[in-house]
Amino acid sequence: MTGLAFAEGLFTSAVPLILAALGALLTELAGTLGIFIEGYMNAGAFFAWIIAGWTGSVFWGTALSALGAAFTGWGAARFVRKTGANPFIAGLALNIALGGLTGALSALWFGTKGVLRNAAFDTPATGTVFSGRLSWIWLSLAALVAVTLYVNHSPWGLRLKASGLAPEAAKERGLRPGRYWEGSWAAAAALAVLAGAALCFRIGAYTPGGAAGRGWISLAAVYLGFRRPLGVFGAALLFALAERAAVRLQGSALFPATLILGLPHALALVLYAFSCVLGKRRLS
Amino acid sequence: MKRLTLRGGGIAGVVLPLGGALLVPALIIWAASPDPAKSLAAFFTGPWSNRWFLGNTLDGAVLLLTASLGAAAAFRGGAFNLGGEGQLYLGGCAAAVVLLAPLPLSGSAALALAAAAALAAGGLMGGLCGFFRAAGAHELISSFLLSAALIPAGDYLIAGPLRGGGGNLLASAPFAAERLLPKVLAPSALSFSAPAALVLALLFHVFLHRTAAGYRFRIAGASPELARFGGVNPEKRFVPAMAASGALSGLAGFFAAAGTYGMAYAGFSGGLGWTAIAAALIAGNEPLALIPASLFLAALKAGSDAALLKAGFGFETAAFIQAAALLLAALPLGRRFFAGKAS
Repeated sequence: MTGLAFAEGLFTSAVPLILAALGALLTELAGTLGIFIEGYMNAGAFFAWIIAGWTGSVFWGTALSALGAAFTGWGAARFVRKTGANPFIAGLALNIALGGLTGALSALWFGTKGVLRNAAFDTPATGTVFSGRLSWIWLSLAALVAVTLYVNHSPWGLRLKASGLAPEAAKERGLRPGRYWEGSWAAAAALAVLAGAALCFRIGAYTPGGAAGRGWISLAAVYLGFRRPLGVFGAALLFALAERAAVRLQGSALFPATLILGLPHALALVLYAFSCVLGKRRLS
Repeated sequence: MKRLTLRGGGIAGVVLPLGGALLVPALIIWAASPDPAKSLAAFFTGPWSNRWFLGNTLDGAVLLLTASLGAAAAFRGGAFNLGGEGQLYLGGCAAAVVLLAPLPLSGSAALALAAAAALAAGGLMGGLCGFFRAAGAHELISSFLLSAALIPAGDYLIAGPLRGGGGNLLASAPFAAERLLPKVLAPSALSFSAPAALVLALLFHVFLHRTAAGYRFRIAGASPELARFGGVNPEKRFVPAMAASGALSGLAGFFAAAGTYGMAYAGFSGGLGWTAIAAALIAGNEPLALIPASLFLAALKAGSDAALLKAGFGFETAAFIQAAALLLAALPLGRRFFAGKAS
């Protein structure tokens, strides 16, 4: 395998993790880690896939789904903030509800809860910048640059971090921390949907629960990257490498194939715990 | 991440989640069924219609009670165990390993050993996450990741070394008749696990409310600052809270394997670990309140299954029941979850 092909393969695997982890990072910086990433990834894969089928366009399928996610994510955040509900349990409820919703809609509309295929969207493995797999890589890198600029180099990013760190103090300085908090949930939901869309268009089919825990791994990536955009990017690349290694091992018949399915999660756990010890972060 | 504090709510904190959990599947069944009246009748009466259905509904409640005691043990210690599903599954698999092993043991000795194996498997998984938490890694993430890492190991055991001959079902061989929990209401699945789970709920209640150790545990979980002020190190509660949580989830897996199914099949945990979190929240993490909460949610599950069977539309309402119950139980009805965020 040439270096370029290896890099392209690695980045293709990393795209969903990069997008999802950047969204998770925004929620964490705003004050509460978004547990709902996994659910939105799965729902995003479903809606992007079927809307692309209806409109005949991968772009519109993805864009409309992301827009819908931003609205519902914002609405969920507003609901949580106005009612004072526990955001972790609300996030868990969102995960479960989105899983049930996609399953029910799939059964109602397509008569199956299984894999959905569409011959029109076998995304070509190679392509120009604006088609095929490469466009997803560029999209994820653009998201990385945008989030890095926003978090590290813009006054709004500073305000987001201030809102997350000390909402009361931020309020005294005339900020509205609730706005930043809601915005972070909207952005994270939209990014998670992009991640889910990247997954299903990469495979060329919608598989229920196709995120397969990547949403949770992206949560671990936030801490492994020490809550910095570039660190999160590095962590996502590392997890992508692990994912590819696991796929390789599965083909090698050295270990039972089913056991290896758990490997990315095991590695994510070890690295997450390790980074927490290193960073000596105390969660109060 | 903000700390979680979870306490029992008022009447509204119970009625609203229960009402929502009842209304949501009823509405879905009404809207999606070709024959709403018949389906709704099946939804409400199906779980109780005869000895067999009644026993199975009660058995579902017993499994849920055990698993939700586990979820509540973590919550009461101020921890959030998202690995219940995997702890339950691996607990059941550990029990299956013992029950299928050709050991020269009497039936009851094999069952006791299997229960111990299930408790140990779940307890280790939970305890490890408690240990990580003490090192600064949040158990919300670590418990889920550990569970997701080990569920394939359970799948491997069931589809590989424990696999029973014949059939398309990915399942272990059935356990020998003397290595099954005795049935209480034959021919239904209700077994000796029912009185055992009730005793556990009672013991948990006595521990929390009648012992000094339980008092320290409760205070450390609900208010670490107050605990520290009173000379209790709140950091020390994470390992026992998560280990107890995992052990109880594992025991639920043992009950499912040795009591309900008489074998372990691929994916037998079937979301029970998630429903358990909803049950624990509805019951305000009170062990005795978990009994009616489990019964209610188990009846909903059995009812929607019965309606599904009658009407035959192609999806389950279980996810919507869980989500509605969770979301409504997350509301701070008469309490505040989320200090410092409202603005």
